[in-house]
Amino acid sequence: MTDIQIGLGGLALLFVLIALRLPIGLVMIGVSFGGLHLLAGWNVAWSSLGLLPFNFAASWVLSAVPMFLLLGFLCHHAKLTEGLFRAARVWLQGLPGGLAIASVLGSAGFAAVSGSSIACSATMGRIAVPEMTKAGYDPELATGTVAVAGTIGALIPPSVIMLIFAVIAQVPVTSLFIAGITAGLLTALGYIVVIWIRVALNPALAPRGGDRLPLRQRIIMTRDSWPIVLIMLGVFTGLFGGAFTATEAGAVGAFLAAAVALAKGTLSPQVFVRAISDTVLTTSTMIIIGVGATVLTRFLVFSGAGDYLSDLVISTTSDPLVIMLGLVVLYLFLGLFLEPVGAMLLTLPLVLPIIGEANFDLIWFGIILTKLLEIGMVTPPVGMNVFVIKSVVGNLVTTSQIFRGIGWFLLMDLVVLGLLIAFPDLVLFPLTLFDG
Amino acid sequence: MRKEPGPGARTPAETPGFWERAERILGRVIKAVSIAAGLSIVAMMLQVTADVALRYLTGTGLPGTLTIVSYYYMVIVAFVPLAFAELQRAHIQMELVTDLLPRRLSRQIGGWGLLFTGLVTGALTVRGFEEALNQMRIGASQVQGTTSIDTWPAHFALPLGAGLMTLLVALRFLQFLAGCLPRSAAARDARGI
Repeated sequence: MTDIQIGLGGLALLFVLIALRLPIGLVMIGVSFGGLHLLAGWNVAWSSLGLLPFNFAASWVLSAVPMFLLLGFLCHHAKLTEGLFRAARVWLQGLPGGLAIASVLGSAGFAAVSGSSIACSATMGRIAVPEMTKAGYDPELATGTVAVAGTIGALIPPSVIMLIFAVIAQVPVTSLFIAGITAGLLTALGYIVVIWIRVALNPALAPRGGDRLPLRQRIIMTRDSWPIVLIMLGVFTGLFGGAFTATEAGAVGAFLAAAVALAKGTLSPQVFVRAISDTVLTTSTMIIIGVGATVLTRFLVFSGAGDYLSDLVISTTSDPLVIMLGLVVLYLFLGLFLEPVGAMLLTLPLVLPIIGEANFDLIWFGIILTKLLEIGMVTPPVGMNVFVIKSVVGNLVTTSQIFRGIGWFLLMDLVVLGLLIAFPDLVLFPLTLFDG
Repeated sequence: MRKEPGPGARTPAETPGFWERAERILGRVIKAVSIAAGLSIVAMMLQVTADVALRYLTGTGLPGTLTIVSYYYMVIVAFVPLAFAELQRAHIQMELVTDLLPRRLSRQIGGWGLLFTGLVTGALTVRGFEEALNQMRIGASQVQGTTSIDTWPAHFALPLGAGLMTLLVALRFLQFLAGCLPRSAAARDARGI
């Protein structure tokens, strides 16, 4: 067997083992170790496991991941975000589909303090779905809306996916965060348009309800969103003003969230422990996959399979559009089965060389990738956001009903994706504002 | 694991009660050790916030913050809870294909998969421990500013977490071989969000 054949064989084995439900990170480590052993002998393979895991985890940039996760989980478990939805609701409830629109805006607001879309979906699912169904909204529309609106959580900074992409692709985190803003806002706008169209076509989906409150009362209700606004201001001004690194913004944000929750009396020891435990589990399970991706990269480089595959792609086509379409199809497909961080870390060792050859802007690609991975969060059969909504709302709807409710939004996601791909400046122009 | 030992149960080692007890004891150890990771998260939040606050108030932050966050808190959070994640069945994996297979086959795959998982975590444990001893011997440290901070103790986080996970996976593999491995999807999804 040639080295390249060993590399390709290793990749094939990798996908088989992952399909057999073995933990993704450990499969990447095990297969790469076996491959390196075949290629270069026991000593090289054994020493490759030495400092690599430690060096991957001992990273200041990566330390922003647990801090932003903690911020999001604290806000979720301590119910700090509820005011945000209520504030959006009092202004929008007179509009057709107003509550659904309010939940999209609430998610966009929560996205500014949450790094993951799961926390975002769970939070809005818990608050907004009961209110929508009480108002007579179609359950498919109600649950579909919060499931997709959750994906805004990973697009509007902070974003755990972007942080990990930044570490692997070695691009500045802050630039990615800034570039994510348009993608997130465009996504939110797209969802609002979908709700508008659906309700215009079939007003029975979302009965207009609720009397308009007097202006004074609406302003009072809006003031209830102060905790999130305060935290958001702390995180954003520090991060984009250049005063904080990402880790510092996350840590200060989490500290503020804990302080606010304590002041509001919603931070019980149980809530605190749950937030910490969720943070620890999510961080650890992500980092072991990151370690796997690093060992896999070494194996692919050593075997030459990485170069072989990227040369193969580039020699088949040099048209950037075709390459981008290929990547879109690849990630939409992986998104059907895989959780985003797993799908990203599994493929980046192969995809990054192709991106380099095709001369794509890495910041732009990072945003497109995040959008693609987030679409995977709501597509069947494995759509994490949908499962989360289902677990939050209980027997109100079936999982397949939620997936049906997502259909329309998915079309809009493809439109937004098309726009982001066709007009890279949409993503990149905010960067020029900050550079100047 | 949920079913009670029936009247036909023979030796204590074969009854589900034995495995249940063994996993419960190991689970307690794992949870106790994982508290270190939770404390690291809290410490990271507090220390980084204090560092930022001090930097603005007095012009100098807490010395060594960057090194301690990266080389201690992050490493502990990353590796010590590996076993805890396995206990909660929280490791990221792809569910789909095995869910479509007949239950018996899916069970076999799940069982032998534990052997693979255990070999990988076992290798990480041995190699990590070797490396940790090595780092201890050379007294590995990081220089930040004018101070030097020992970093070698943090190298023991990987063998600790991976070692406990190996024990847990080995226990579950033995359970599988003994024919009483509980592998319900419900247990796997019990993690909340």
